Amino acid sequence: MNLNTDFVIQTSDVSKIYRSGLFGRKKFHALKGVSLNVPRGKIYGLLGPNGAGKTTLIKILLGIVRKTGGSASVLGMVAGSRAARRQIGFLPENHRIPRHLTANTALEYYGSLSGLSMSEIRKRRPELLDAVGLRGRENDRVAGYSKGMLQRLGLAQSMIHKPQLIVLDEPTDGVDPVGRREIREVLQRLASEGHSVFLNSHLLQEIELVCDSVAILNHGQCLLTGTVKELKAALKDSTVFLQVRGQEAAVRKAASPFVGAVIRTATADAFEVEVAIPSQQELDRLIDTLRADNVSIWQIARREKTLEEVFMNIVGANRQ
Amino acid sequence: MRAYLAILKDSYREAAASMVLWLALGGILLLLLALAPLGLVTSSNTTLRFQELVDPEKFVQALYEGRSDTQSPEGHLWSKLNAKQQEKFAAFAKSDDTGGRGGQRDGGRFFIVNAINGLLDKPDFYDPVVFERVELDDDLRTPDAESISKADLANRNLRRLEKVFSRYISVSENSALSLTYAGFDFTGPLPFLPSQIQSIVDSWLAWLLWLFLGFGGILAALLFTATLIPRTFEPGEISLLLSKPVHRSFLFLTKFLGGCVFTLICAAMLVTGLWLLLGLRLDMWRIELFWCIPVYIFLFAIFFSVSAFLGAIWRNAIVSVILVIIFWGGLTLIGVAYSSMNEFVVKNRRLSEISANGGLVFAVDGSRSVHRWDSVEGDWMPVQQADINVQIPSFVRRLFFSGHRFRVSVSQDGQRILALQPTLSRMGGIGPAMILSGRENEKYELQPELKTPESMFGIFQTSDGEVILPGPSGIYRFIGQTEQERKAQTYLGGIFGGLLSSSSNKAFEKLTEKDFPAIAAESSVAFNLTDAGLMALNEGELRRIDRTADGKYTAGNFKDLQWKEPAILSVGGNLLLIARGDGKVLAMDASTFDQIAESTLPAGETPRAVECASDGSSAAVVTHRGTVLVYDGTGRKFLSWAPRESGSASAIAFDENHRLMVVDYHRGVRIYDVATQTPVDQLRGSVDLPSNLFYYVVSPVYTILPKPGDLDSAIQWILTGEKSQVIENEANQNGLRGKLESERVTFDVWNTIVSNLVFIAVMLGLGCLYIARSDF
Repeated sequence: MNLNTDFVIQTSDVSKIYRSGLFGRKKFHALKGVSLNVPRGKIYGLLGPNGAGKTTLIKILLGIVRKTGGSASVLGMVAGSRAARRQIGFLPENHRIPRHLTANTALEYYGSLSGLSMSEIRKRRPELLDAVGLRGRENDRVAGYSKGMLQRLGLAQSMIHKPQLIVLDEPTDGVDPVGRREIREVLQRLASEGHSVFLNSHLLQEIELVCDSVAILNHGQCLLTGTVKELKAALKDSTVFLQVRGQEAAVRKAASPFVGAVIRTATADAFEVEVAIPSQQELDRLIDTLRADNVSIWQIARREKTLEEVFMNIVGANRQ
Repeated sequence: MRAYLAILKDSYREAAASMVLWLALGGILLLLLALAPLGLVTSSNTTLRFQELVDPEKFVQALYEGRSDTQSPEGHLWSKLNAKQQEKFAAFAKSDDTGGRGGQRDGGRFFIVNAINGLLDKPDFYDPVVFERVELDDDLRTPDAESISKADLANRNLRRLEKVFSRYISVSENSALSLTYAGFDFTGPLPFLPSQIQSIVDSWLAWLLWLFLGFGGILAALLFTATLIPRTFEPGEISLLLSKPVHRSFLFLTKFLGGCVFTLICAAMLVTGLWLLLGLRLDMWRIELFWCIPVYIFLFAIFFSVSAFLGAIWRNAIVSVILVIIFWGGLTLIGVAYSSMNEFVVKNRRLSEISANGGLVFAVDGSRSVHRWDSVEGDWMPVQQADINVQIPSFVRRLFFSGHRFRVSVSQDGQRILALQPTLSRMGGIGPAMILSGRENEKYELQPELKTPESMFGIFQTSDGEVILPGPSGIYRFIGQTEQERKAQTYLGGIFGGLLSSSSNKAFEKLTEKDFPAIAAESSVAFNLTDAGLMALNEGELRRIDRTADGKYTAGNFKDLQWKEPAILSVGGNLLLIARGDGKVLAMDASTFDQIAESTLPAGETPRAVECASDGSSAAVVTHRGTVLVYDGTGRKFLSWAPRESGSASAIAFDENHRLMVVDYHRGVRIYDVATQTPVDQLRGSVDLPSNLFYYVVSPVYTILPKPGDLDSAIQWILTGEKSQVIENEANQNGLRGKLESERVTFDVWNTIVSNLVFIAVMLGLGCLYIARSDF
């Protein structure tokens, strides 16, 4: 694999087989040749249904799980190496910070584990606590924290050593809407500061809101990668929405060649038409027919697909 | 490094945040507070202590014989006893020494001591007329004031009693200790000497530390730390930890070390508290006590390494606690099986003495049974032996009589064997020995002959067949009985088990004059076959006892060697070999006492036996740990060569051809020519099934498993500084020589530490391997 410094993560044909049962005779293919290139300085989202292999891929990148085949690098270093981990901040899904710690001691503990000195930790701690909204609760035991507070503390610990790459596994899980917005803002600020973020979330809306690029994983295979715009473009929607005024018969006549066309009456002579038109020629023909019958076209718009619809299309197709 | 220090610091934080820790510390504090008011008060001695009645038989005899003369101290004292006590004293005085069961012997001495103590605080104990002929100090001769306290009265009477019966009573210290609690004396005078306080406190300390640290503390620590590793490996925590730039194995090892923090805190608090209490309350500042902290952390680490390994695999605290407790039980079971088999089976079958003469080889095993080497069968054949100590089970006899070597003396013509069998006295302790003899025409069946006039140092046969018995008050020749007497003896012995044997003055001829200096009972005495002379050594004072032309013995050369170490010696030809308790071995000229050579036994080893070839051509020392050191009399130097069995030698001797015989643990004997340092012959004794089971099943299993129980020996070593300890019993209270020759419980502290360390390393290594290869 050629290492490219433009990418913070590069995987090539990464596979993972989990073995279980007596003498490991039962096999489960969690990843089946995943290849990814995650660009530097961007927020990259990893999408996929439960069991798709997202967490396994993240753990391989961090060296928590050993890959069965393929190659992976992080920040130009072998994925999972201690040197690479030194440059990564990680927030695992359902993480558990020891209950006897406070926010202050937790940041001290994880900062020290990341190799920071006490003076560096003391310098970084206040701004991080501010950033995640835990200022004022820093001396409380985490045993008394809510899920959202724990999640924000987890985010803070992942950033304490100013890593080049932050890997987040379901960071907004259990966080209220206000908290989510705060986390989104933190991520966007990180990206603006040149940090790279690798985000795994099942909340497609979150991904759509913050991610520059995404990869969709299903059944251990990478089905699609690209920017959000590219993905949406790749799966163009053929539905066209028109607002017209004129004779109802003329409107119905013009729409009749298109199967599934929906005509809704707004007023006596105003109508909304929703029709699937696969090509531009056919759209031109529809407009020509309407105008020929003296129907006025007030508005014409092509509807955009949401990421969820794109995801469902791809995953659904993959399931079939 | 910073990362691992952070994990350790977190362990401390976790421990500090734990309720269990505070409960444990609270418990320790309560214990220390409960012990704090304990104290010892020294006061004048008011009771006769058990061990101070040195000769109960003769004391009772004296009272009984003087009972009719109430104007004598004996009769006066007798009259103060109540009817029941008089009846029992009379029974003691009339009975034979060797009779009775163990319980009766001890009970007899206790009964006498209690009876006498009951009289001491009575105002009519002292009668100036009765004590007129007794040499009393002036203050004791003065009648007691009416206002005198009971304690003072008892003390004065005790001192008077000692003056009257100085031959039977030895009050070694005129003060007594009482245990007080918050200033209240609730025990009265304790039944031990004030000088014994340190060893008694040590044994209490060892017990206390075992209970609260070795058992309770470790169990509590295991329960507390059982969750530590499984919790670390919970998905949410381990993912976070492994995403940091830390090494998996080091993470596991640091967590393991962190787990020891709990034990460290508890052990440090308890030991420091005890140290302060000992220092402040008893003025015993024992800094070495702090060594107990690492020892108990080490002990905890053995079990915690198993707990950590199991916790990493199952990630379940309950499973790991249950398995660790099962493991602990298993270890205890194997330890008990090992030590029981070793003490009661293997050591009893192991040959502990060997002697050869006239072409015959005899050996004595641990249960003090005699065996003869049968060259036709190629094995040891048991020699029938009348048992005069039937009341002691054979498996306990080795421990009970461990202070008295049981050696067979073989006549030069091989026609007769002799041995001295110690007998139990009715009032406790060892009485005069019984001579056992066996003859060739009776297949060497050992029969009791006669009881010696006093406790003897050994039994020796000259080249002329004379039997010499050195005793504390002189040297005796055993003339023996006529054949008719002997047969009658044998017949009675058959009926009564030899209990009716008694000493006959006719059978023993004293070969020393009245002015012969007494040989201290603690002396080591050796016989020189070349000139039938003897050599006695006590506290560095070496004396030759020469045989005169008329067959008598006179005191010969004397030399003060200027040391007080306990020592044992052997003499052959003109060679004298002395082995000291501190490990120093000296070869000397037997005539001039000039030192020829000097060597040292391996560190911490104590000599068990010294043997010289009868011509002085070579000599050897064997230690309690089986090491053999050989001296070459021709080259006049100690050899760096050692027999193959060195390290596991159970006995040594020289045969009539001056060849060194070394017995191994498996009843085998290899015979060496010391001059060429080569084996020339071998006697391969067979080993029975229980011993084989021990050597090939129990012992290997025990070897590979950790030995947490043996760490108690480490505490013993820390407190006493000795690597072996003499088995204390009433039968081996024969002074310094006995302390060396007595069987010892040896403990190899370093071997224990190494074997336990290896086990911990294996467990942690497996844990690291598992974690390094696992996905989380």
